[in-house]
Amino acid sequence: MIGPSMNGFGKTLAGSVILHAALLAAVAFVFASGAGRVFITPVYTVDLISEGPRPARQASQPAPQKPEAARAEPAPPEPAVPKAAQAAPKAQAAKVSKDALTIKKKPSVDEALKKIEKKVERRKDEALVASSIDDLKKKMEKERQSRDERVSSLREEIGSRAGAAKPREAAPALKPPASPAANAAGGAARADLEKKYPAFYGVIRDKVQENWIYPQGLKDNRISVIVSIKIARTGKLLDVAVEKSSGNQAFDSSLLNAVRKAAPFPPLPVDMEGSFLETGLRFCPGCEQ
Amino acid sequence: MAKNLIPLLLILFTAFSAPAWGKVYIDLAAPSQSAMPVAVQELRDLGPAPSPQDKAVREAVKNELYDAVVTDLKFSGFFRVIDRKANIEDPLKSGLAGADTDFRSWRAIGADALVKGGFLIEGDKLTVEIRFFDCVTEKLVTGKKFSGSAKNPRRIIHFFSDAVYEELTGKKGVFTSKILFVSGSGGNKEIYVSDYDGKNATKLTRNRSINLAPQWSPDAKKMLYVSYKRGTPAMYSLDLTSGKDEPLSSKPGINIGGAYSPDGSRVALTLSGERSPELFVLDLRSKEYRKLTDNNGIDVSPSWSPDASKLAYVSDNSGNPHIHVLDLFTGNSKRITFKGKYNSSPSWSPDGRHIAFARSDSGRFNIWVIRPDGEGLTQLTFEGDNRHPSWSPDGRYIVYSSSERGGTLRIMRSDGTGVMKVDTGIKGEKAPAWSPYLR
Repeated sequence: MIGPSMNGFGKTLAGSVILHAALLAAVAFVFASGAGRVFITPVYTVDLISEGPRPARQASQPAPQKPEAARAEPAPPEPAVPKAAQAAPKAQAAKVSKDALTIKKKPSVDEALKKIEKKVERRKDEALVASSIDDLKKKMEKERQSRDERVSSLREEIGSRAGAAKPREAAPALKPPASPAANAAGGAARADLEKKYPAFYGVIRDKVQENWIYPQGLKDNRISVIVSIKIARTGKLLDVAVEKSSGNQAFDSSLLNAVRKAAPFPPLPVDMEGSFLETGLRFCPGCEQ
Repeated sequence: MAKNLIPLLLILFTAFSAPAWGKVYIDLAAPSQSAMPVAVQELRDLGPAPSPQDKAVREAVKNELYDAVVTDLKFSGFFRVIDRKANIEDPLKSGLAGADTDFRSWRAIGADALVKGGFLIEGDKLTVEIRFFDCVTEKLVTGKKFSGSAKNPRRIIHFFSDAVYEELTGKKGVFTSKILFVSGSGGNKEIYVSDYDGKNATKLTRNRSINLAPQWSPDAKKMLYVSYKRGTPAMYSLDLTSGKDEPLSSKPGINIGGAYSPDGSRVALTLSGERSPELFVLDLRSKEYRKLTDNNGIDVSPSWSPDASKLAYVSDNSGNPHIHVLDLFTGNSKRITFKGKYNSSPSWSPDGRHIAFARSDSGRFNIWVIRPDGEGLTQLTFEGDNRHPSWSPDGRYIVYSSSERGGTLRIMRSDGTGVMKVDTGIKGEKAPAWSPYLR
C-alpha cells in the first residue's frame, strides 16, 4: 500500500528535482551564454579638426572643440593667397612680385599666380615679371608633375591592388617579355601562364622585392637587369643567374642576393606541369611602355 | 617531310625536357618606389604631469596608439614606416598642427608623409587628436579628433586609418572591421571576435560546448552560429550589441552551415532531417523553410551571391565534394569545379565576381578562386594547409585559417600576395569570418 504511493511521490519528487535542475541550468545557461553583455562598443564621435580637400561627412553635433581645433589649424591656403595678391599692387612692383613669388611655392599656387598675373599685367615692368613668372611656372610645373607622379603612382598601385579581386587584372606586373632571350615557341603558353598563375608569380615578385636592398645612387631609368631563376616543384631554388647584366656588378649582385634570400619559394601550383619552373626577373623601368 | 619533322621534334624535345612552359618575365619595381615612406611621431600626452600610477597607464596607451598607427599603415600596403629612431623632431617641443611642424626635419629623414598627434586621458575617456601630412607639399591630408573609451585606444586609431585611407583612395577602409573565429579543441570550441588585425580578441560564447561556423549578419549586429549546447547541432543567433542569444533553427537532425542573405531576411542552411543533408532557405519572419536541393548527395556550406540571386555550395552528388552554383530563380544548379579531391567552404566576393574556396589535391588544402561561371580557376596559396576563406568587406583581402600550430589565421591580398599572420593571442584559431563594414 505504502509502496506504490511512496513510489508515486518519489516519482513526483524526482520529476520536480529534475525540472528544477533543468530550470536552474537553463537560467545559468542564459547568463553564461552572454545575455546582457555588449561586444561591439558604440561608435565614437568624430570631430573634424580641419576641412580637408573633401568637405566629407560632418560631425552630427557641432562639437565644442571645433572652433578651437579650427584655430589650431590656421594653415588653409585660401587666406594666405589673397594676402599675397593684395600686397602685390601696393608695394613696388618688381620687389613685391619677387616676394610674392617666393611665398608661392606652397599649395594653391595656381590661384595666386593667376591673380598676380592679372594685377601685374597693368604694371610697366612686364618683362621682368613675365620672366620670373615663367621661371615660377616651370618650377611649379615640375613640382606638380612630381607630385602628380607620386599621386598617380599611388593611385595606380591602389588601383591594381583594389582590382586584385579580379585575378586577371591583378597581373599587370607580368608584362609580355621584351627580351630576345625569350623562347619564341613559348608565346601562347606564356600569355596563358600569366593569366593562369598570377598569384604564384605575384608571390615570387613580392618575396624578391622584399629582400632586395638596392644600391644607392643609381639612376633608375637608365639601369636594367634580367635575372633567370629555376625553381623545383618543392619551391627550392635550383639556380639563379644573370641573363642580361646591367653593366653594374653591384646592382646585378644585389638582385642575385635578393633572390637567394627570398628562397625557398612556395611549392609550384598544383596544376602547373613540369618538374621545375624557369622564370625571369626583370628590372628595367626604361624598357616599359 | 622528314626535313619538316626534325625542327618539329626539336621543338617538342626542348618543350618536354625543359620546363613545360615558356619563360615568364616578372617585372620588378625599384624597392624605393614600392611603398611611400611615412614617419610616425609618438603621440604626445596632452594631460598634466602624471602621477607615478598614471604614468604606466599613459605610457601603455601611448604605445598602443603608436603600434596601431604603424600596423594600419603597413597593412594598407602603400606605406613603409620609417624607424622611429630616425625621427628628429621632438614630439614634446613641436606642435600638433602643420604650422608648428618642421617639415624639413621630416623630409631630411626621407619621409614623404607624416603622422603626428596627441592624446588626453580623462578618467575612462580617451581623446585623440591626430593628423596625416604630406611632407612634400606640407599639406594636411586628414586631421581628426576622436573620443572613446580609454580601454580600447587601438579602435580610435582604426577610425583614423579608415579616414586616411578613404582620403587617399576614395574607398572605404577596413581598419574598423572585425573577424569572428572559432578556437578550442575536442568537446569545447568557443567563438571569438577580434579587430581585423587580431587584437582585442573577445570570447563571445561561453557554454563549454561545441560552437562552430560563425557568420555575420549583413548589418554586422548579429552573429549566426552552430552550437551543440543543447545536444544536437542547432543554429543560433547572438545579438552582438545586446548580448541576446536566440535559437534560429533546431529541426531534428543537424542544422548547419547557416548564412544570412544579403538583406538579412533569410538564412540558407543545411538540414539533415530527410534521407540526405539538403539545402534549405529559412525565412526569418515567417519561420518557413523552403527546400532548395533534392538529391542523394550531401549539400552544405551555402554562400550567397551579393545580389542574392545565387548560392554557391558544396555537393558530393557527383562523387567528390565540388563547388556548385544554384540559381535561386530557376532552381538550376551548375557544377563549377571539376578538379581536386575535395573542394570546400565557398565564399562569394563582395563584388560578386569571384568565389574563393579551399581545395585539396593530396590531403592538404589550399585557397583558390574561381569565377561564378566556372572560368578563371586560380590557386592563391601554395604552402601548408589552408581553409575557410572569407573576404574583407572591400574585397581586397582574404582571411583564412592555416593548420600551422593547430590553427593560425592569415590574411592575404585577394591576389594571393602579401600573406601575413593574424596574431590574436588565442591558440588554434579556425573558421574565420570577416565582418561587413561596421560603420
